Amino acid sequence: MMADPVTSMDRISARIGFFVGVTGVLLLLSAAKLAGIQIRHHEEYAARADEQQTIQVRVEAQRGEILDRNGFLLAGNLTRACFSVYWPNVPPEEAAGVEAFAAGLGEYLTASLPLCPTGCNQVLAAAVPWEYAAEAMDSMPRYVDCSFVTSRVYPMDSLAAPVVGTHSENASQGLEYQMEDILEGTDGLSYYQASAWSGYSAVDNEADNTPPVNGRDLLLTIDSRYQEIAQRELQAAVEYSGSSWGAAVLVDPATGDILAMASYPVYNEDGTLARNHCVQSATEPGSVFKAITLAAALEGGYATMADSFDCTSSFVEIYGHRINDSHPVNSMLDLTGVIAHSSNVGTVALAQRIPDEAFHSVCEAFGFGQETRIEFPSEQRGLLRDPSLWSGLSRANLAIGQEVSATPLQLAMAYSAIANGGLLLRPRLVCATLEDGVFRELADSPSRRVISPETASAVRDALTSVVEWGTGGSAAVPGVTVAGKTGTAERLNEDGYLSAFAGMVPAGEPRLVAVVVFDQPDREYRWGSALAAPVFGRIVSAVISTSPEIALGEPFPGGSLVARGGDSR
Amino acid sequence: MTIHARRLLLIAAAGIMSVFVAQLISRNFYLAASVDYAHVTAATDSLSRTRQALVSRIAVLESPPRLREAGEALGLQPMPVESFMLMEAP
Repeated sequence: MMADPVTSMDRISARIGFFVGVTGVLLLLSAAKLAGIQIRHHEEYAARADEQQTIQVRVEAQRGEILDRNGFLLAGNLTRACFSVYWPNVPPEEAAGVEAFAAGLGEYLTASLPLCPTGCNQVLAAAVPWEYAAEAMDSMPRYVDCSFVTSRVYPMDSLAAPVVGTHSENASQGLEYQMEDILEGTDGLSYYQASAWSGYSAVDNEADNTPPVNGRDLLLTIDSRYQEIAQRELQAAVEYSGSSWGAAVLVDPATGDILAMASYPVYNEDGTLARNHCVQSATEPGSVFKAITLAAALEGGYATMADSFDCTSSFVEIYGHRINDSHPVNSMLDLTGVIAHSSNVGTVALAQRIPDEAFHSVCEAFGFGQETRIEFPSEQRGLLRDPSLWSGLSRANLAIGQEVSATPLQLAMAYSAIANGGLLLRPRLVCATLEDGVFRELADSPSRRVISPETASAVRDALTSVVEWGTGGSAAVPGVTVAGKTGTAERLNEDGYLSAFAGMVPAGEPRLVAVVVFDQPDREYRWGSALAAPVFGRIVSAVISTSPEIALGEPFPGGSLVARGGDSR
Repeated sequence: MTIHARRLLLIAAAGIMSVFVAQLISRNFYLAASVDYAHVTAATDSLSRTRQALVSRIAVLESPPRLREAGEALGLQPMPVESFMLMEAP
């Protein structure tokens, strides 16, 4: 019997209607659930997804490099790799691959072969150079981990350490400490989206990515060639003279640029960086200070170079205290003779003509008792007492460099003022910063007039006599006229002496000022003429051999500096 | 269902599909660009580190003490200042 077609169509329609209704309800439920996920709990689920998919990576900023005035690297960065393996993660069948990789690390392998895959974490190689590590990573098994460590590197090692200092995660010293704000960069943050199935990771451009900002490079006024010469000569002299320390400063008197700043010993016995005695040790300058006494007398009009002083006696008595001449002359001396023979008797007689306030004022103008404000930490300011605190003996003592203390740098800047015609400059150790390939030169050092050009010239003439026929003959340099002054000071607070020499070349138009100081040398080396002056001569001689233009002057435009029968420079 | 209704449904479906495909393509471009960016960043970092290593090596090779030692080993020494003279421009 055939079914009624109308009834059959109604049933089908009813079933379809039921099916559509159920499907519609299910779709509505799904839509409601989706709305709950996508709208109501959107932030919660989005955050959970981000947490699962996004990886936050710190992008390390590079610390700025330190370069000398010629662009030679004094402090840089070096990345090294460390390869390690976590054995519990390594399937037994993969151990051979790890061993083969380890064998390929060659000289950098620190683990012994064959590897023993029983422990937990094993370092295969540490301190692998970047170039080698980058190649090795191409064949690195997936179970080997590689981490990178960036450390500071100093190509000149200890030779530049007194200036540049050191830097590590824990502590910084020297310029590395002083210039931390410029050298240090700011680390960046990158957010990566990780894929669970294909292993890719891509930077999430919608995240708050911050690129690293590298530190700025520093261009110093130091010339690494002069620094090496000064440091080498200083080290040799400290060792043969038995001095407790030595310091040498080389300055361009026209600009105040520090060309070299050597100090020895470089390291303490415990391996930490020793103090830079050029800046961080103030001592009695001794007879080196007589140039300042002479400048004070001439500038104030209290004496002329033609005045004679009675040096027939080998001592002078001030308030019952005898001041002796180390090198008795026993004759009348003019001012040039007083300085050339380093006569204490003559210098004290000269100082008696200068009022206390005027003498103190000139000493202060030369920068004694004040910081030079060089870009170096823990600078000593030295001692220059106020005249109200002076005893009857103070003026005489000050005239010969006692009752006053100064750093080698202060002496170098004072002598630079004599060299450049009377301007005291602020010493400069950093001349420019470098950022993204662009040099930004720092402002020139401010200067102030201390003495007139005529006074400076007269003092230079007297200092030239010191080397030509006085106590400083051992500082002479072949081929160039040297002006300078020896100094031998008794230490007030400690036993022993201080041997010093401060000078400039060429004497007529100085382009280089150098100060050399040795503390507590053996007795036979205590005189400035016996130790500091010859070292000054050797340093300056080597520097001039490197840069003959210091002695001869810069060639005129169109001219040149030529070696006789040799190459032109 | 009329022919017009079917056409409208087809057009709507095609539109939705087009949007889906466009999103898929743009997402792929985005991923590809992101992966490229990551590779370029890694390459830049690698080159930067290589440059640092090379600059350090150059500095060691050119360091004044090394040059002096090498020169002395060859029997060389700096010329004394008397060996130089200033030639004025004609």
